[in-house]
Amino acid sequence: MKYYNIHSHTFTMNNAPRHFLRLYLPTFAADAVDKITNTQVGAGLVQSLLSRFGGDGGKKYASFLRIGKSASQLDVFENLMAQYDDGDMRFIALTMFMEKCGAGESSSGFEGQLEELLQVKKQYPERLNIFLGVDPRWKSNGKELQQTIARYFDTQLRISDTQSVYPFCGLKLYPSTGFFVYDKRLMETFEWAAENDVPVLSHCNYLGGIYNNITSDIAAIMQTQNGFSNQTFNQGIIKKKSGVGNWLLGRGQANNNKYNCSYFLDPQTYVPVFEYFKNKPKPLKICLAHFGGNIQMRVSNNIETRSSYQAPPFGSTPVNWFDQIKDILKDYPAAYTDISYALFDQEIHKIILDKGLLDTDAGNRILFGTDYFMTEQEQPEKQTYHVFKKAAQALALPGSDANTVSAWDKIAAMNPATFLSSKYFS
Amino acid sequence: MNWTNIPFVATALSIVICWALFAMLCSFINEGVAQAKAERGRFLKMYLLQQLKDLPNGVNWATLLYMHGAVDLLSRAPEKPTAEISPSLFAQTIVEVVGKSQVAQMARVQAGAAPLYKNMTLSDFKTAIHSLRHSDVMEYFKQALNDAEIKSAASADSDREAAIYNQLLSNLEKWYDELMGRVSLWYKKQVRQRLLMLGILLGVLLNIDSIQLFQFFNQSSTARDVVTNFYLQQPAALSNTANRLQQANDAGQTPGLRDSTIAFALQLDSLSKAAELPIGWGNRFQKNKSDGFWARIGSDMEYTLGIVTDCGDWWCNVWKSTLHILVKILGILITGFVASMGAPFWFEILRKAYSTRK
Repeated sequence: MKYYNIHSHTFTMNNAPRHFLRLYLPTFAADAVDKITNTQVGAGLVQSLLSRFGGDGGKKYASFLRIGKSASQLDVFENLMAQYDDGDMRFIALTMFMEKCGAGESSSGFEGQLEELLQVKKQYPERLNIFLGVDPRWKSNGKELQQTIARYFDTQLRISDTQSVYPFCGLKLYPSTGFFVYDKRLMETFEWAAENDVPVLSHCNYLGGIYNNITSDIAAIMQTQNGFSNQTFNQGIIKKKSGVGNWLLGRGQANNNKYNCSYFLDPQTYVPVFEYFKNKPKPLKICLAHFGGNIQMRVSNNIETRSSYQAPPFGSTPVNWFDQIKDILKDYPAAYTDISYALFDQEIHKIILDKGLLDTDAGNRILFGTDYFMTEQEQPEKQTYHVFKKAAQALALPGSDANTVSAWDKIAAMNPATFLSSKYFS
Repeated sequence: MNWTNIPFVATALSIVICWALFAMLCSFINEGVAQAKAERGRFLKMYLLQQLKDLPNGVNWATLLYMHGAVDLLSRAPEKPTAEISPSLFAQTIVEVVGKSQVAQMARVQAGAAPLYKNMTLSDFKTAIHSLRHSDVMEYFKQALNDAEIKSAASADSDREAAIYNQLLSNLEKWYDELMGRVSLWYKKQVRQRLLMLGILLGVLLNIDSIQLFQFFNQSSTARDVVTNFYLQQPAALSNTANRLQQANDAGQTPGLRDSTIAFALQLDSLSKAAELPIGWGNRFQKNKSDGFWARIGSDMEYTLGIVTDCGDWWCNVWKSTLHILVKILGILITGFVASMGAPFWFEILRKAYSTRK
């Protein structure tokens, strides 16, 4: 049986926008950390200092930067493989279009990011599968976007004189960088994807991840017309007052931008797309990654004790995102989700590894992923993987015949195989 | 009469000798740090990434260049890129990475045209540069290939592709050489800036004040003699070491650097003690020998910074103390500037000065 980590990243700071760190740190700190961590000595020093004096936040950035500053995506991928003693594990690396999230352009360029990862695939064609990052702003219109994507998918990658493979097997969306998934410029691409069984994986972690930091852009994006239905989601701009600390550090507006960008990830914004394809000959497989995030899972199950997280989420409805995604899984047979990033939180394992959830039709569409190397901020990949795998292997579920299957086999092997199946996937 | 014995001249030469030795120490340290950080390799990579960034096509060709095995295998570690890529390696590799890139392959498949040359590397390269979007980088590659094709027009059919390929490589190598010339100049500029900052830092940490040194040499003929003799015992050796270090700072590695640096620092320490130079904090001008370490630091700083407490008038004390502190800052800035000029510069002045004495 082949196992899949459906959600991992190999991009380096070379592929990230120039001022990426400014999305998370005050400008002066971001620039200083960026410069100092250019060497291993500097990175080690920053890691040591942040671990001692930076609290949880500091430790996160230190671990994250250590990998992000790797020389190439090859190094990151080999580092990822080294965390697994399981030679059968395959990895899905998700490329991301981050050129327009208000942090400048990347050094490598987006196409350069793809080229780099394709070089890695040439070296590890069996173990690495790649999802192509999609953003409606990448090309000038929807038709050009779809044609470009189709060309990328259909132009085979020459591994050797006797072997060529399809380079990509899925699409990755990251709406919080500045678009709605129902943007009509994505219509042609989604139709092509549905026609060709190409799966789509979209970031859906409440208030987590990368966001658009251009305030004026966010206001304009809120007006995006729904290309798939008449439903609108313009909720108005959030303008929370920042505390003195955030104000002094220049983080007030950035935090507001992060809250506003949560609208672009709102699970309800996917409903028009699911509805559109519901009655089509072929459905569009969409995975709402992260299952809403570990915080939303904890709140939904009343195990979150921190009062600051109890407030209803920003979005079109004040309903917990974990609950919303569960409902979407029930209502739409082509909806999937994964447990990446949230997995580091061992308290949510029992929420996922629940027969009441996994032994249902929705349970056939929950996928294993870790979100490496983002989760290095929380704990090492090896630990995340081993702890969850052990717990999942211990849960037996009814199989399709009289035998049982473990939750691990279901989430990490069987479900992903269904999600990924297409002519582009091998 | 030996004009170098004139007190004022001797004072000036003594201070120049100190400057030359200090600049050399800074160069040693700078080179050590640069080697540890693989500074030259990073600098080269930074500029190649900058120059070969192809925005319209969304690709940075330098990134793909560094990922290519031929270049990657030259680096000692992922975060320590090679400090040198030969022109021929650059040319051959860039032709290959451009032609074999997926964006180029996609364009080739879309165009559906037959190969333009029998040689696939050349064919892929030409297809790529004519299919991809117009950009500075593509414009240059087109020019290089056009030139190669024109110059090879007279070649026999059987040799033409080889002639075009060789001429293309030659064109790319020439461009790369020109770029490397500029990169070297930029790197030297960065080295000078680093030496300036290092000189100021060491000046503060070790209390190396050029103005105070000048005053000291002006008053002490014994110290002048000690320093001058140190130099005159080994002028050529010192100068050669300084030149080698300068070359290493600008371009290459220096074997045994750590040991050389330590040996040189020990030599300077001995010289400083022998000449009783006013260098360092807290070990010379204490008011009372029985004072503890911090008391000595305090009294040394009072002396060195010229903090005045007995002028009789508060404003007078503040004014004089401020003036002394400003002079101290100026003295250290001069020390930093001295380091940035580089040791060979000062040794050359000494060589000319001492070659004229009778």
